[in-house]
Amino acid sequence: MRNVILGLDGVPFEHIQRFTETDVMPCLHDIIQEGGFKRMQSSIPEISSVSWSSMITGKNPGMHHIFGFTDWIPQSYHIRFPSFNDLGCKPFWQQNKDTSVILNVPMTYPVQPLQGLHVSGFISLDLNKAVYPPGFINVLNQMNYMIDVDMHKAQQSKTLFLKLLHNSLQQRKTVLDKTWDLYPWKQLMMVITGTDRIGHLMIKDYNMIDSSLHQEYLNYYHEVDKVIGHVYKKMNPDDQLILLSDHGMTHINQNIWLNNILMEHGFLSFKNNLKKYDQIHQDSVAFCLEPGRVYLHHKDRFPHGSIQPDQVSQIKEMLIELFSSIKYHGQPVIKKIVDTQKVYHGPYLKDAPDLLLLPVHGYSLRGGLSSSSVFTEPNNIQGMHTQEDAFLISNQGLDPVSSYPCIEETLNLFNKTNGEK
Amino acid sequence: MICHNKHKTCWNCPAAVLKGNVDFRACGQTKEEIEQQAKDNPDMQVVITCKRRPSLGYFEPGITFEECPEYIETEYGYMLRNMRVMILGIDGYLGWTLALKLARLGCRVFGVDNFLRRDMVSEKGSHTGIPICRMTERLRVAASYGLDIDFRRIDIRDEISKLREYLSEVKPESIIHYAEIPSAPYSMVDSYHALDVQDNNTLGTLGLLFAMKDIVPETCMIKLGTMGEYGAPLSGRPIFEGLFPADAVLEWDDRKWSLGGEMTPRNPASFYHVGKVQDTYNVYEACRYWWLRSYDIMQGVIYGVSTDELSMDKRLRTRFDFDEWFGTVINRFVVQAVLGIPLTIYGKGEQIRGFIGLDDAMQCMIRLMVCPPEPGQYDVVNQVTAVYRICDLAEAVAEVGEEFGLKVQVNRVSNPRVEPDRHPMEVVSKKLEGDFGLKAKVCLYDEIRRMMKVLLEPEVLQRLKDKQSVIAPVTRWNGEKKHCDLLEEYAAGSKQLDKELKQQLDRMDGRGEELSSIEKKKQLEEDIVVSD
Repeated sequence: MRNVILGLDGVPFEHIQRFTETDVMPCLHDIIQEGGFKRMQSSIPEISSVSWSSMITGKNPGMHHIFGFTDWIPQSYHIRFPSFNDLGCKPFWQQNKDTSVILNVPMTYPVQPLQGLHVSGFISLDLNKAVYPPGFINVLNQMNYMIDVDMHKAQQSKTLFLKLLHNSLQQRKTVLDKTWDLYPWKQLMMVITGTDRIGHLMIKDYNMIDSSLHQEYLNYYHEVDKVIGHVYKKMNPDDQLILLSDHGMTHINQNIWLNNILMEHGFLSFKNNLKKYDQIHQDSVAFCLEPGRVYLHHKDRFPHGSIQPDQVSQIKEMLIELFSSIKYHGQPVIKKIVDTQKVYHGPYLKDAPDLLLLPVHGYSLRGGLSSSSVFTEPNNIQGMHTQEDAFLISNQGLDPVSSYPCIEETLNLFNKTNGEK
Repeated sequence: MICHNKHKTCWNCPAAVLKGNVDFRACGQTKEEIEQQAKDNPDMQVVITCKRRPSLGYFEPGITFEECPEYIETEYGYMLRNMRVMILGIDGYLGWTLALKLARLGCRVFGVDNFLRRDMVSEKGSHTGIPICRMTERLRVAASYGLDIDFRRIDIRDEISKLREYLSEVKPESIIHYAEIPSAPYSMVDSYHALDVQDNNTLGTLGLLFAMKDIVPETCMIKLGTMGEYGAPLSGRPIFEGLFPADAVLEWDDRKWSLGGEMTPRNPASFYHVGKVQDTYNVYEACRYWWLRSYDIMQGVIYGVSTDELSMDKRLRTRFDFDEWFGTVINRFVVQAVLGIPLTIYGKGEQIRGFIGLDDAMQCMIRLMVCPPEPGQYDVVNQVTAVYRICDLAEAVAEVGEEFGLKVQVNRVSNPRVEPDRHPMEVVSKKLEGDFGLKAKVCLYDEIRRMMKVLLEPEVLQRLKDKQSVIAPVTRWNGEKKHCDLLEEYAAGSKQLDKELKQQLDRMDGRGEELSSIEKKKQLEEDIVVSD
C-alpha cells in the first residue's frame, strides 16, 4: 500500500465542486465518488510557503518556523527568505524514512538527501541545489525542465503564459512517468503549481464567461484532470490518492497597503524620508510584511525597538481597532484579526508576527512599502489567496480528519495507511 | 572615525553570493535596473546568500558594512574580518609592499608570481638597487613578524589551470592584479619584447577574467592600469577618470550630446600602453557581460621606498629598479644624484606627469579593496596625488641632495620617446579623496630624503655603482639602439621657470597643493626659467 499525494496549488473548493459537476474534471469526479471531498482551512497566513510547510510536517508555524516567504534577519530590519533549511521540524519523508519521490513541492529548496528522489518546487533558484540525487539533473536538463513558469515573461503575454503553463504541466507528467518505476517508493508527492499561476493571472478572465480566455482557463483544468486520471490509472488498487490545495483563490478588487495605514495613523515613520525597512524610525510602533503580518516594534527584537512587554496587549488592541475600522467605499476590508499567541504554539512562537490579518474576499493585503497609497487598483495580478476554502480529497475517504479540517491534518490520512510512525 | 564605506551594502560585498541566486546576470544589466524591476513589481524579490553568514539563508541584499558583524573598522574603512586577498605579482615593487601591509592589517594574503620581473631585469643586465631576498626567505622573515603569506609560483599567462586551481582553493575576496610587465621602454626594445609585453599582459589578464567568471564572480579585481593610457591631449581637455562625467557634453555642428558614462579617448604612447588600453576594454566588457566588477587604477608615476612594514627589517624591503626600462623617473633621478652622475631629462623636460608616493599608492589600494564596486560595475580611478614637470622634479631632487652634500648636474638629452615635450595637463582625480577618503601622507621632499638615506647605504650604493651603465636610455621609439644626444648640461638650481608655464602649473597642480602643501610651497619658492 502506497500513498500518492497530488497537490493543486491555489485551487479553491468551489472550482473543484463546479468542475467535477461539469465535464471539466471528469476523472476527479470519479475519484470523489469513490472517496471523500471536503472544504479545508489553509494556514494563516494563507500562502504557499506556510501552507505546504504545515502540510508536509503536520505542524503549525510555531512548530515548523515558516511564517511567510519573507522574514526578518534577527535583530535587524533586513529581509530574509526562509528556505527548506529553516524548516523547524521534519517533513513526512524524513519522519518515516520510507523511499519517497517528492516533486515540485514549494518551499523545499534547497533539497536535502533522502531515500529516493526530490526535485524541489518554487522558489528554487538553482537547479543544482534543487535535485537529489544530483545525477537526476541531467534528465531534467535534457527536457529543459522548468521549475516554475517565468511569471515575469508570463505577465507580458497571456498566449505565452498559457504555452508555458501547458509545457510545465506536461514536464511534470513526464518527470512523474520517468520516476514512477525508477524507485521502489512508498510515498509520492507532486504539486502542480500552474493552477496557482493561472488563478493569479486569469481568474478574472475565468469569471467573464464570454471571454475566450474563460475557455482557456477551463482547458487548463481539463488538462490537469487528465494528469490526475493518468496517475490514478498507474496506481495499485490499494494505493491511496490524496488530492489537496494549499489555499483558495479569488479575484482582487483592491490592494490594501497596510504600512500606509500605519503611517497615516502615526504608528509607523521612517528616518530621512526614506521609506525602507532599514530606515524605520525608533518611534514606530508597528509595521507589516506580506501579506498581512503585523509586527510590533519590540525592544528585544529590533535594534531600535521601544515596545516593552507590558505595552504589548494595549498596542495590539489599538491596532485591532485600527485595522477593523478600515473601510473601502463603506465596506470593511478586514474580516478577521488573529493574535498569533493564541493560534500558534511551539518553540518558534517568539519569531512569529504579532497579529495576522485576514481580508474580506477581494481585498488583497500588501505588506510592502512600494506604494504611496492605501488603496490601489490591481495590476496584472488578478487573483489573491483565500484561507477558508482549500479542498481535500481522498479516494479512500476522509474519516481520519475533522469535518472542516486544517491543512496540517492531512497527514492523518497519510498515517492511516502507513501506520503511525 | 568616519568610514567612507559604511553605507556600502551586500551589493558591494564579495561574500554575497549572486551566482545561482540572482538569476539575471546578463549583458549590460545593472543593479539599478534590477532594483527598479523589483520596485515596479512588488511580487519580484532579489535574493542572495552569504558565504560568511550561511545561517542567514536567503535574504535581500541590503545589509550595510556598518551593520554587518563580518566587517571590522580599520583606518582604511570597514573591512571584512580576515579578508582573503590574492595578490598577483606579489614579488614586485608594489606587490610585496602591499602584501606586508595587508598581512599586518589582518588580511589573509595569498600571492602569485613567476619571478618574471627578476628575470627581465637580469636579462637587461641590471639588478634591483636595494637587495631583496629569495621568496622563501621573504616569506620566512615576514612570518617571524607574524605576517603569514601563502605563495604559489604560477605564470598566470601560461599556467592558467594552476591559477584556476589556486583561485578555487582560496576563493579570494579581493584580487589585486599587479602581474603585468610595467614598462614602456621594455615594450619598445624590439619585436620580441613588444610581443612578450602584450602577450603577458593582455592575454594573461583575459585568462584571469574568464577564471574569475567561473570561480569567483563576486570578487572585485583591482587592476593596475596607468595614466599613460590617456596620453597627454594637446587640446588641454581634462584627463577624466576613465569615463566622462555625467555633465560632459559633445558639441558639434550646432548640436549637443551627453557624453556621460562613455569611455574617454585613450592615446597610448608605447606598445606597453597600447596593451594596457586593450586590457581596459577587456575588463570593461567582462564586467558588462558577466557582472564582474573591477577598479582600473590609472596610477601615476610611482616613487619611494618607504612604508612602515618595509622599514621593519632590511630583509623585508621591496625591490628598487633604476635601469632605463624599469626605473621610474623620480627613483632614477635619486639614484643618479647619489651616484654623482647627471640627472637625464628627455627633450625639453617640460613633460607633465601625475605622481604618487609608494605609501600613498598602498593606502589607495586598500581603500579601494575594502569598498568594492557593485556587480557589473567597472570604475576607473586616477591614482595620483600631485602633478609635476619632469624638470622641476630634477630640481627637487637636487635641492634635497644638497642636504646630503650632493652636487647635482642635469643633462638634457634628445627624447628617445615619441611624445610632446611641452603640453598642457589637467588631471582629474577626485574619487580617491571624495569617495574613498584618501588622505595623502607622502611628502615628495621627505620621501626623496628617505630614498637618499637608503640608497647611500654602502651595500646599496655599491649595487647602484655596479650597474650604473644601464641608467642612460638606449631604447628609442624609432627602433634605434644608441645613447641619446646631449642637448644641454646645467647645474641644478641655475634655471628659472617660464612664468606662463608656472601659472599653468599652479592651476593644474591645485590638487597637489591640497594634498601636500610642503611640496607646493617648495615649488612656489622656485622661480626658474627653463630655456631650450
